[in-house]
Amino acid sequence: MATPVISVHRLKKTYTSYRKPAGFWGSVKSLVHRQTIETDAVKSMDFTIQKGEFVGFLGPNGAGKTTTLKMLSGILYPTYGEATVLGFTPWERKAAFQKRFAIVMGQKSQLWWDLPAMESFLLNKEIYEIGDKEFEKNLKELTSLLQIENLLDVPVRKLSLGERMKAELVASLLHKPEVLFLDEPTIGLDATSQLAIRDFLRRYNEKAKTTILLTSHYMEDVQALCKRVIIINKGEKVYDGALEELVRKTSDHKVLTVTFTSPVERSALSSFGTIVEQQAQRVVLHVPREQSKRVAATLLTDLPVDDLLIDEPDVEDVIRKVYRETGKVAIV
Amino acid sequence: MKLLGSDIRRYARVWYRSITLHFGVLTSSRADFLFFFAGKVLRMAFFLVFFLALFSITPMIAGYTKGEVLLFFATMNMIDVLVQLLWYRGLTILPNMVKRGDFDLILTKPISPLFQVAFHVFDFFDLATVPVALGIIAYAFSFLPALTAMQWVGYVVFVFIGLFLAFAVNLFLASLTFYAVESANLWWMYRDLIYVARFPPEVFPNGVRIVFTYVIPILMIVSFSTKAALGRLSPGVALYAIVLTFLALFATVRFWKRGLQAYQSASS
Repeated sequence: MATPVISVHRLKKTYTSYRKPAGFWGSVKSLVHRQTIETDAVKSMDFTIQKGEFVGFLGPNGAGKTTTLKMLSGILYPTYGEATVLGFTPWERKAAFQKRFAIVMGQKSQLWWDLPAMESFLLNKEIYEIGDKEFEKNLKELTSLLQIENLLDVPVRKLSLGERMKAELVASLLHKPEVLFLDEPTIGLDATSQLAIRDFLRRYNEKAKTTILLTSHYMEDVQALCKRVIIINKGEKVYDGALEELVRKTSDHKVLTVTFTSPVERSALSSFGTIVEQQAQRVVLHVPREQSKRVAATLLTDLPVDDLLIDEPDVEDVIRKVYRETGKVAIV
Repeated sequence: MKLLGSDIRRYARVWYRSITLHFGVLTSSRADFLFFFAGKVLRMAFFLVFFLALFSITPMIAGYTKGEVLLFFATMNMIDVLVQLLWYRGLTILPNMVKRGDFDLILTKPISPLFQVAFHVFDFFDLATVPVALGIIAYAFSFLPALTAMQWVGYVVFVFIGLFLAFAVNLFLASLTFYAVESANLWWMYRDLIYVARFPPEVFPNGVRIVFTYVIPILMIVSFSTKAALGRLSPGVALYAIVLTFLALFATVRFWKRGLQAYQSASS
């Protein structure tokens, strides 16, 4: 097996903060005595990622996703453990490493707010030592893929959130990073912008073979882009593998959506599975996975079925279930 | 050596691009520029009026003549203008950058974070006040007898020593941000001390003078150049100041690097 591009071994990060009682006297007391709180944001993380992989990094708020990304991009020093990205230890912050990766954070900007995005691109050209021809070529390619060619001379503050995120992506990709960390790149975007960014990332990953680690609370992003997901909860990895495999492993049922040619009584349906939703001529059933084919066949022969769909459970529900359950026990 | 040369060129290009961007931001409001410039020049003018009024009732202050005292003020003013022009505003922005989490992205760029923070703001407002500051220095020298070559060299060298030492002090204050974000008061204290030190050191009682020279070396920053120009800086003290400056620079750069390791980053 090839050497992984990202390798993480027993990575740990503990934050130290202080508890301060509310109110005026609380503030006065905290000057004399403060209770120290140590929070393990990441407890002991292990995983490897190969070149060109597009991996979803999932977890509920406070699970340690962003802290892990910040350690992998050299923003934070870990409390313990090892990690290499492209053969470098990220927190040594070597320029040779920094020229080969990029991080995009949905809630932070590297663009100069009052100036057109082009000005920030030109600054990055100098910082990353991009030659004139390469800069022109990359800029043209990226702005055309993201369809923002006409917005380069508009002040960033005048751009919509979606346009700004597209410009952020251009700024981060001008130097052709081999590794890209994406922390909630579609946060707050409308459906159209989300789709555009998602489409761009898929095409970019396929074309440039960039290794991408993505965190997102939008399951559509993960489903559309990531073959593999790493799920973490409370600072620990709880799953690492294919998304379909996770759905199969954690859900004991399939979803049957049946449309009838005429109304069907509830009593005639209850023996087929758990009724989740029912209208006059439509029902959604949860049926044990191993019985789904047999139940579907029976439905087709016994009832006036117009249409029948067999689906896997909704990924979002699965993930929610994993978050809930892995608060206690790991799946893998 | 070749690598060093290309690095210097790259940093120069980044600096030029950064200050161009900052100029673009500043020029978005002409009113800001006019108010700032008028405020700065008025402050200098008020001090000159105060200074001339002072010397209308006394020929000397702490053993220094009118031209000599004016040179203390003019040199302090010039050093202060240069400090603000080059790095002061960049470093004072750091606490806000850390609070907002903007410092995160700086740490991911293939260029020194200290360079990015300290030198990304070139205050063009202050650049406009440089000719005024130079004019006051020239006016001060017009009262003094011609300086020897050694006095000129000493003056220029200690202006640079003052700048280096001011950078070390400012970098120390900026580095405290990584341990306590609310360090704004210390910056105000620095500004206050700089203004206190615009008079000749001898106006202060001995104890205060020793503290301001050897503990908080504010007098080394703003007064030693003028003392060198006037031939009143002993070689021993001059050497001490030079050694201390380079030690301070070395120590504060290390303190900054330790701060970068301690950096916790704001929650996203």
